[in-house]
Amino acid sequence: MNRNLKDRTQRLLRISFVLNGMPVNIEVRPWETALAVLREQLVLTGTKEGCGIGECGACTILVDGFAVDSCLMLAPKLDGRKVETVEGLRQGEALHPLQEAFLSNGAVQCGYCTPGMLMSAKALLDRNPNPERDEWVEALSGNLCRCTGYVQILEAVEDAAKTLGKAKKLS
Amino acid sequence: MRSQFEYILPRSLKEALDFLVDHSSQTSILAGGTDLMIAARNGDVASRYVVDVSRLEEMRAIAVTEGALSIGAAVTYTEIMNSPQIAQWAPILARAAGCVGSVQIRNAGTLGGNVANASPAADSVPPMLVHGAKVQIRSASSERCEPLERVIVGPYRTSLRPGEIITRFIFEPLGDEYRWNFQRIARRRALSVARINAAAIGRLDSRGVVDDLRLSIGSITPEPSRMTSAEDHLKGKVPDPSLIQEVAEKVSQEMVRRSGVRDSTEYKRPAVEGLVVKALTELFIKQNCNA
Repeated sequence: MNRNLKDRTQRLLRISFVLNGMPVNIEVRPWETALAVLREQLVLTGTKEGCGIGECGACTILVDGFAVDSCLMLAPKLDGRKVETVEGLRQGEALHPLQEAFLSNGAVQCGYCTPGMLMSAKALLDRNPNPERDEWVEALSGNLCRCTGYVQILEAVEDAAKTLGKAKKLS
Repeated sequence: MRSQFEYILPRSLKEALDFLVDHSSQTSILAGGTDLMIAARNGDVASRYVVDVSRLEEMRAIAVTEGALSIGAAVTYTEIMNSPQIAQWAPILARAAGCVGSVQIRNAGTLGGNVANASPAADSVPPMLVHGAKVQIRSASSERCEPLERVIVGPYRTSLRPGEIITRFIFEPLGDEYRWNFQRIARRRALSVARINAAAIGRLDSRGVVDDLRLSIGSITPEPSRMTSAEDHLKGKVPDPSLIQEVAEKVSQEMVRRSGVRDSTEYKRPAVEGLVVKALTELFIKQNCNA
């Protein structure tokens, strides 16, 4: 089989999707990952590559509300989807309650796992604003952290859930 | 260097199958991508085309017809875990699905992908085998339905022919009197491929005698199957700890008979026996369906 890479099609694929609430229309190389497209083409470097093989969750993004490893997602699969990255958490100048809670609970050390942790937590809280502890532990079980020992992260999620739960009750 | 290929998104199963008529030797099928993308990262996907079947409605249905549960090949592990029909008709599969990888992996990975990848450690396979699962396989010019044991024929090998796609799985309905148990040994509780996994489904009659037992253990034999000689050892008898231990030993003997003595046997022999004892004890003695 001819493995000369120049023989592979150089044709780009046009995809359009909603990213953090804004429409995006770009051309991608069909074999590229969503992670690479976000970081390198769209210059949204909040999403991190930790392992590149779906074993650490640092690259977690939300696609139609579901947490997925963007390192394992082919970029063309983003077409027509609603995509959220960590950059979309802030509301204008204000941080998302999850981000506030991570800061106030000491849940950020080197910060590398943090975007993935935030997105996994958001996926849970968007769907279930009043989770039990075992539910947010499960929701974060696909995100590895080498710094904190997880306790502060879990406390931050609990804290954010309380804040969001209260906000829901008031609204 | 990452593999490069073209991306094809068929709008229907027919379109996908028609594409394969002329291109199957140059095509990889993509569902969730949790296996394929790792191979692609390593430069191991030689295909010119990748055909994405993840959105094909014909492969995404979960339905029950006359008690037979049908699960589309492109149904994700998350959907399996959340399905009320699967909770009722094949809860052991929902339990096994919950053991796979992580939330992120489960949101993408599919049942069809797990079977087509044919890892010996596939968590969905023992549960499907104990449910007598049949696989519907289609090509542009054919349709066949095979027992799962005839589809996975060895480590990472299936009997799929060029141009064929797995479209759905059909499960034998088992009544409420059946109990089930799924066990797994892995390095961690998440993000770990199973070292050994085990699915057991059984039924006791009114005298406490085993009148049906189905046992399938993953990662111990070249091809996945039911452990029929071990099952037969318990059928027609009232289970007790020493009988269960004998069944466990029959399983490890079968493992050695079929796989030979390997470097891992020193570990796997006691490990698989322990796993089988745990599964059958919970199933019949403690009467837990996975506490």
